[in-house]
Amino acid sequence: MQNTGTSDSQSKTSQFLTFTIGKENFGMDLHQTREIIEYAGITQVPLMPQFLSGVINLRGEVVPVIDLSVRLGREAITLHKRTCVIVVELNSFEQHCVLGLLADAVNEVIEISADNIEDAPAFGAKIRAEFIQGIAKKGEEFIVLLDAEKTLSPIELAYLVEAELQ
Amino acid sequence: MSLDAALQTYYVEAQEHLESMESVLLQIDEGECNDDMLNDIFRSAHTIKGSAGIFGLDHIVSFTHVVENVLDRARDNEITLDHDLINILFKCRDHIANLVSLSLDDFQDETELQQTGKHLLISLLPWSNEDLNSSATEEAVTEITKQPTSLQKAIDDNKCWHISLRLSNDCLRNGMDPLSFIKFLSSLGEIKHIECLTDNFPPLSEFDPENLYLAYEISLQSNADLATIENTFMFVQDDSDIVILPPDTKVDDYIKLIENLPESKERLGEILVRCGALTQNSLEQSLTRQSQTLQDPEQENKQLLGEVLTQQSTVPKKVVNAALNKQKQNQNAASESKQIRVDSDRLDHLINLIGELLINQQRIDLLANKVGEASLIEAVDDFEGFTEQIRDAALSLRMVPIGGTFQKFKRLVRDTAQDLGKDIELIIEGADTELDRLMVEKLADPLTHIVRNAMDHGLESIEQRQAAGKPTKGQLKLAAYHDAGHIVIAISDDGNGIDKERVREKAIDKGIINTETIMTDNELFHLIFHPGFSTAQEVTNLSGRGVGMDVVKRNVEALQGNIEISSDTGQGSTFKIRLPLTLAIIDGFHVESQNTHFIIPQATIIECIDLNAHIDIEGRHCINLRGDMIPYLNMEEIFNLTPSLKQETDKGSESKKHHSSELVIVQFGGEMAGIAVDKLNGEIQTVVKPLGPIFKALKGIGGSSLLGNGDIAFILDIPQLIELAIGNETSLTNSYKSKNENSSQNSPTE
Repeated sequence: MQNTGTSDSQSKTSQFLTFTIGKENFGMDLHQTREIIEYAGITQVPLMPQFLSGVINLRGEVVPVIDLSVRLGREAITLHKRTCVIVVELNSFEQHCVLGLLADAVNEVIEISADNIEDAPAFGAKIRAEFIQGIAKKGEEFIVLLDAEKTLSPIELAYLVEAELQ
Repeated sequence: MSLDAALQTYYVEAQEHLESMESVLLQIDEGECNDDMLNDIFRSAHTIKGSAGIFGLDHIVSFTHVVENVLDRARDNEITLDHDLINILFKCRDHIANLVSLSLDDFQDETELQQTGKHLLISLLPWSNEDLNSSATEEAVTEITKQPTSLQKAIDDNKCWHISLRLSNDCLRNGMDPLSFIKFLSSLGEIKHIECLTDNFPPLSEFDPENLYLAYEISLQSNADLATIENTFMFVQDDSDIVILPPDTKVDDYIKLIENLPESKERLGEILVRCGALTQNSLEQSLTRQSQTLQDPEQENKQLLGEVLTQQSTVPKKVVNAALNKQKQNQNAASESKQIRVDSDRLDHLINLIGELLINQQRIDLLANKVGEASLIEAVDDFEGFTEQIRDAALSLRMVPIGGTFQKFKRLVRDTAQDLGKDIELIIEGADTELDRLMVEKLADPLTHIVRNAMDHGLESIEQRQAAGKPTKGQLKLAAYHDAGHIVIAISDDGNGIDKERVREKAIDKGIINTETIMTDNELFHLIFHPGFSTAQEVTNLSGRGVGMDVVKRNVEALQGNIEISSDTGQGSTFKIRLPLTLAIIDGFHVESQNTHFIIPQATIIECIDLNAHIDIEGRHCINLRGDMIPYLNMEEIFNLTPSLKQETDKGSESKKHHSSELVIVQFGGEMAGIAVDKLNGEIQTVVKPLGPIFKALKGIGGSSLLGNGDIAFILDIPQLIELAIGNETSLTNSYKSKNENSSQNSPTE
């Protein structure tokens, strides 16, 4: 699909949006990201678990915002001037779902060929293995490519909300 | 319009005719029978048959034909519609409905249907016209047992389609190249012969190079079906004359084609011969016969092209020619002038846009008030008036009267009563009460369950009724009416009522409650919504399995509604389903608690009072309002709201002695409660934005809404909120619950 640039047709390249949460770098398939907006306050929803930061008004659409940091089992994100919201669009189970993700910084869009993506390590990433689509190497850095469908599965999120409310 | 889309239209149309057939049959069954009704029902059957013919749905044609015959005789007063015949006609109607819906998905598993059809036709025999129609019936019976599979079967490999193309003069100008059509046809099969007609060529002086003067006669050998071939010409269909004749078309149809086309008969004849559609011999014969008077009909029948088919009526009538299409279009145009069928998605889109308009209007309102210019404020006020009217008008488009849904129950009640051997009369009230189309669709199932239950368990048998000194005819009433911004649908019967003791025993038996539990009648009756709960002594095929009532409750709750039950032993019971008017836009009251915005649906609000002026009774969350004890809940407590908007959840919110100062008194289903908030911000029109599947488990909040300044407010779901409060209290004070609950729950209703 995204066969841009390289003359080598055998190795498929995909585009990823990379961003930083805390000190870690993450990547997400560019196709699933819709836009990046400045963090301009958030409306908390009563009684929600910590990973659900609240909802925002995205040009007339009410969009839930997830603190990815909490979702991945880390400390809650610290808000600052440069905090931004990555708007993600999911089309799983015939259900169209728009979500926002809090990130400390959005870095760049990179092209990574399939050869340069390695499987997730069995452990050590400190992230549930199923959330990881692969690990990409960029220079000396490693970027954890997140599987948006799994990490942000509306069904699982709804289940977590229900568990919190019980 | 492609053939598939046309088939959809046919389906919708047939559905309407079937519905009208049913309602007229019901009326006749009730004893009112006049010529108009018979005409109506005949016309319905006739139209279904006619349209089915256009689409080549032979099985529908042949079956409906027999029904139509019987109806025709009734119309001519040769036979009368008695109870038996009406019973059979009901079944025939259902069978046609089955056939029609099957026609949409390529007749699968139709053997059973054929059997039913056959039996029905045989049972219709006594009423159909003996001498003329018995053969037709038999034919229909054999026809229906044959596999009426799709067109492919009928087409022999070496048979050719004949396509006569008279494209409009503007064709080239519209960017359509006739050559591309011909190329596409050759991808469907092999073009055996093509003839280009240049008869329309004007003298060179009048020649316009942008006009298309060419016409084509094409002979195509292909296994494609009619729809595919027809779809080739989809873009030019409207202003062109295109005739597609399938293989096995009778000579006469070709002759008709020749006559309808503008070119000279002889010339066209020759072309058809060259195309291989006709033989020179048959052409000459036919042409001479055309000029003479009609010959022996026997002779005519035998002159089928290609193979001789034994019976005229069994020839698959796949000829969808332009003329029929045109006629249908005209018909549609006539009916469209009165009513327009609009895709519901487009309507929803309109309502969404109006929602956005309302939000913007509120923003302008805020700005105007800030500016403080009197004339501006006035203009904005006028604007507000119009947007409200637009909103109401748009919402009314989505509203449909409930009568249509109620009407369907007539049949259900009639059939069920017959099965149960009970005498039941259905009374309908408030059929013109309107509610949201979305709700009407989702209500059908719950209503069916309740009606069935009422007939099966509620209403007694004739003997029991006689013994109890009641009229033998049981009454079942469906009523709809408006009440405090809600729609109420009441289903009541004058049967035996719900046996409280039995419900109680059963609930204890099932372990739902224990022997000590004290409950109000309403609570007790609500036990029947528990999954797997049934008090029926014996399980019938209608109900008694305990499946269904829990589904009823769930469906109604999904519509933001609730159910009330009242019942008197020996007098009957009533189920009241209370629903919001619409799900899209509501009038709300904007309140604030700890800087979080909430909207309370206006329809539930009775009044707002100053909380500080009232003192809690005995330290409980209850106030004395003009002698009534009203329990209230505090928003910041129930939603655990903290003063700071920061993310850390501060559990110690109660310890901060913040005091809500305003109290909004709401009511739902006859009960009253207060909601304590910090600030009242006034009335507001809000567009309900669902919070999405993630928040499904969140009770008390029905959705979200955008305020004029872009902030997000949460719309409160009052019944859920109260439930939440009760739930919280229960877990806190479980030990003395059973004593206390009764008093605190009963008091507000008094």
